[in-house]
Amino acid sequence: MFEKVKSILTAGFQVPADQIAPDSTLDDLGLDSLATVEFALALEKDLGVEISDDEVADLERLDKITALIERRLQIT
Amino acid sequence: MNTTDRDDMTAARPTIRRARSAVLAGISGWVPPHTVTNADLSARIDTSDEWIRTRTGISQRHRVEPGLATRELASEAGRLALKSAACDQVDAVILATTTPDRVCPGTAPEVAAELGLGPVAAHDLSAVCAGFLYALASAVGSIAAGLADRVLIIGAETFSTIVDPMDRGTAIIFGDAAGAAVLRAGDPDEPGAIGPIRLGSDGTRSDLIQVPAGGARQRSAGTEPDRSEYYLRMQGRKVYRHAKERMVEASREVLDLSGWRVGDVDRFATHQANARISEAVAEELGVPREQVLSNIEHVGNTSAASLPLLLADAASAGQLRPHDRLLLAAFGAGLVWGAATLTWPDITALSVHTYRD
Repeated sequence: MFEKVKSILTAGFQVPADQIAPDSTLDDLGLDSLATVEFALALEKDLGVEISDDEVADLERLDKITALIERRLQIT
Repeated sequence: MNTTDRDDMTAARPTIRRARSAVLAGISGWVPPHTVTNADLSARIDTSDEWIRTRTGISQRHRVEPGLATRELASEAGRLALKSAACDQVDAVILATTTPDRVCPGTAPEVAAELGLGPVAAHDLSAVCAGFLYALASAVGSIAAGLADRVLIIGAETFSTIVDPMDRGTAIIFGDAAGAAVLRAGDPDEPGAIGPIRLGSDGTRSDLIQVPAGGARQRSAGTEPDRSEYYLRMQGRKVYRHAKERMVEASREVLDLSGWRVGDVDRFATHQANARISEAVAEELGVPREQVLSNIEHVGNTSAASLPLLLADAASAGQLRPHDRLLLAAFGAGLVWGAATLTWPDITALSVHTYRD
């Protein structure tokens, strides 16, 4: 799942792959508040998971965001 | 009622009138001369030119001098729209504004008086940043129903009076301005005929953008509001998401109703809320960037004034030409939103401003 999240960031948000680590925050990767909304929308669209921009912004770190996505996808 | 009576009624019925449409006859924009640049804002709040530009696309906005308010802006734009339409009389004035000069009465009657229009119908309309499209729909309805042959619709805002000058979330975005349009009765197939309009609302999200104090809700509570409650509060991130989704949805609906594909759109004019929202909406719809009209760099978000001002600026600059197929979309506090289509008519747009390069 982390690789999928990573590919959304490289393809849609022009983040260089070598900058993306599990403990990266969205701020580290140069995503401002509106880009965070776009990221949440992209996660929903590409991964078919319900996740709000608030959740994405609050979790901040990619590993935590990925963990939530995995939990949500297992439940459904 | 017997058969004879019914026959008489049928005989007396007038021949079916040709469908009557509202046609755009004039368009204008008016921006107050006082400019507030990003550098001006950086001097008083923790922000920077780069921060503002990358997040909003805005480099300057305008504000009224002390003592001026919405009536003066609305009258300036209204006068220009009448001139643009070569018209000195209308049957009704609709003023879309979030910043009326007073809670009571509406500002439109004073504007009508100032324009010398006599005892015409005049009222305010409150639909914030979608106000111009709501006013447009109202004018189209009035003309279609035969209540009026010509309607002046104005979007005029002095957001500088409701924005906290120290709030870096909103002070950087909003500006004062006015824009107006004249609609006349005409044929549905002539250029300028207003096509399908879709409007929508979601009152469950009224908290996303609001001025908490000053209305009946606060007065009825009987508590003394904090000074900050008289200022506009906005949850930018949530607004972005809803704005994008709703404008995309409404745009697709009016494209369908118009029988247009996205590729048929020559120009796309969105409410100038934030350059990134407009870009995101255009991208989602598949409208190429070069077809998206924009003037937010020079004026910021001017709420109900935004669309007519954008159209007047674009037409004056030659970016909007007769027979261009135009898609309009707007979104604002309420939540409220809308979209419409029309084919641009051969009119002379009048735009008065002092944008700095």
